[in-house]
Amino acid sequence: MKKIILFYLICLFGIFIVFSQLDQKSDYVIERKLWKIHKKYVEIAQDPSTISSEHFEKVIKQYERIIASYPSSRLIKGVELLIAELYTFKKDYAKAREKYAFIQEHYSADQELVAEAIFRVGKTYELEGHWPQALQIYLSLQDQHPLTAVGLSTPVYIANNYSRKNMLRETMDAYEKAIVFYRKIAAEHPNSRFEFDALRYLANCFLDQNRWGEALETLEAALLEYNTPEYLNEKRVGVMIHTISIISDTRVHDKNRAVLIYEKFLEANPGHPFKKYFLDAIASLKK
Amino acid sequence: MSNQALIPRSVYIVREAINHCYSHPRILFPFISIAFIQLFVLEVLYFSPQYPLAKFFGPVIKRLMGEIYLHYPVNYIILPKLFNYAQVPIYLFLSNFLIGVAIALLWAINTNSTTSIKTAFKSVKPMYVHIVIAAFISFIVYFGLYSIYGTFLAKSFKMAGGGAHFLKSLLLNGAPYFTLFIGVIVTTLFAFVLPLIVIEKKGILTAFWMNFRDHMGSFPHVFLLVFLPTLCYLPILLLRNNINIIADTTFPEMRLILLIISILISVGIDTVVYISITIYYLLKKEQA
Repeated sequence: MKKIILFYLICLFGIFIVFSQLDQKSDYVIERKLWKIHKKYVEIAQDPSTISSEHFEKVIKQYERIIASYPSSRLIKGVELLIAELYTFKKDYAKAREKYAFIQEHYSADQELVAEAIFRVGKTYELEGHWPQALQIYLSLQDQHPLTAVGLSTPVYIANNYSRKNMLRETMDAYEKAIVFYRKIAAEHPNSRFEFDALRYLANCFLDQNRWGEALETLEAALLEYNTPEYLNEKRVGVMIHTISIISDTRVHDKNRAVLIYEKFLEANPGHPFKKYFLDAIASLKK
Repeated sequence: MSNQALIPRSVYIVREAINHCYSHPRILFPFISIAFIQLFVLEVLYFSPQYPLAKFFGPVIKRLMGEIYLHYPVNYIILPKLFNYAQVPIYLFLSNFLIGVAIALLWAINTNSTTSIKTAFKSVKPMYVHIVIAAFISFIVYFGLYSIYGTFLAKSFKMAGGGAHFLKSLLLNGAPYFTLFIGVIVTTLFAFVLPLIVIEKKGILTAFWMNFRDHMGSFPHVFLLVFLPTLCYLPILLLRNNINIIADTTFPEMRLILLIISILISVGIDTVVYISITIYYLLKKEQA
C-alpha cells in the first residue's frame, strides 16, 4: 500500500513540476508574481504618509525586476503606470512625471494609456497645489485625446473640481464648456460608443446643474438610440431607469414623463431582454 | 433494537470500520485511488488557465464563465465550481466502481479468502454497468432533493414578515449544511444497493428492490453509520463558508489548499461510511 501511495504522490508532484515548468512566460505567471507585489502597493496606497522611503524603493525595485524579466509582456505598461503612481504616493513628483513621460513616449500607440499618463501628470501638479498647470494639462488632454475614456471624462472632472472648491462661477463655466464638448463629440461620432458615452456625460452635466428637463431628454435619447446589449447592460439599464424615474417623480413632478419614455422604448423594442425592468418601472410609477 | 442501543452500536461499527482499515490496509486502495483521481483532476483544473492547458480550457472557461476567470487570482474563485462539475463524471463512472472493489475486498476478507486487488477488480468488472446505473439513480435522487431545497429557497424569498426573514436566512446560510444532509439521506436510502450488486451479484433492479424490501427497517441505524463520520466534514464547511475572508487575509492559494483538504477528508469519510455499511450488511447477512 505504501508503494501505491508513493507512486500516486510521485505522479501528482511530477505532473505539478512538469506543468509549472512548461509555463514560465505567460500572462498568468506574471499576474501571479505581480499580485504579491500589488498587495504591498495597495497597503501603500491606503496611507502613503506612513510608508518609509526604503519600503517605497523596495516595492518599486520589485516592479522593475518584473519589467526586466518580462519586457515584452502586454502587462508591463500597466506596471510602468504603477511605478509612476508609487513615485506620486512618495511625493517625488518630478520622478513620477519623468515616468509618465517615458510611458507616453514608449507606448505612444496605446492612446488610452497615453491619455491616462497625461491625466496623471495633471494630478501630480494638482497634488503639488499647482492648479493652473494641472488645468492646462487637462485641457490639452481633452483636445488631443477626446475619444479616450479619460479624455471624455476630463471636462466633468474639471467642473467637479471647481464644485468641490465651492467656486460657483468657475463651476458653471466648466459645465457649459463640458456641455459644448460633449455635444460636439456626440454630433461628430453618431451611432458609436463615443456618442453613447458623450450622451451619458452630458446627462450628468445637466443633472449636476439641476437642468432636469434636458437631463431627461438626453437620457431618453441615449436609451432609445443605444438599446443593444453592447451599450445597455443590466447594470446600466438599472441605473438609467432609476435616474429617469427619480427625476420625473421628485424633480419634474410628472411621473407620466418617465412612463412615456419607457412605453416608447418598449414600443420600439417589444422583445428586449430587459423588458421586465421597464414594465416593473411603469407599474411602480403608476401605483 | 432499542433507540438506546442504536447509537453505541453504530459507534461500534464505525470503530470496527476504522480498525479494518488498519488491519487490512489493502481495502484502502480503491479509496486512495479515488483521492488520486480527484487530486489529478483538481491539478488539471488548477493549471487550466496556464499554457499548455489554457489552449483547450481557455476558450471553454471564457465562454462559460467569462474572460476574467482566466486571470490570477480570480481563477481560484471558480476552481471549486469547476471541480464540482468534474466530480459528477468521476462519481458516476469511477468512484462507485472503486467503492464496489473495496466492498469486494472486504467481503473476501470476511470470508477469509486471499483475494488480491486484481481479483477484486475482476469480480466487480462484470457488474460495472449495474454500478453505473445505481450511481445515476442516486445522483438523480440527490439532484431532485437538491432542487426541492432550491424551490423552498426561492419561495422563501417571495415571503414577507419576521418568520420569513428567519426562514430565508436559515435556508440561505444553511445551504452547505442542507446539501451535506441531503447527501447523507441519499447515501442512507441506497446504502445496500452496492453491497447487493457486488456481493450478491444482483442486477440493478433486484438490488434496488431488495435494498428497500429487506433493509428499510435498518434505516435509522444506517443513517447513523453515514451521519456520524460525515460530521467530520463540518469544519471544512465552516472554512468553506469563510473562504473569502481567509483567502483575502492570507493568499489566494488557500482556496486550492482547502479543496485538497476537503478531498482528503471526504474520501476518508467515504472510506469509513462504506466500510461501516458493508460490515453492517455482512453482520445482517450472518444473522439472517
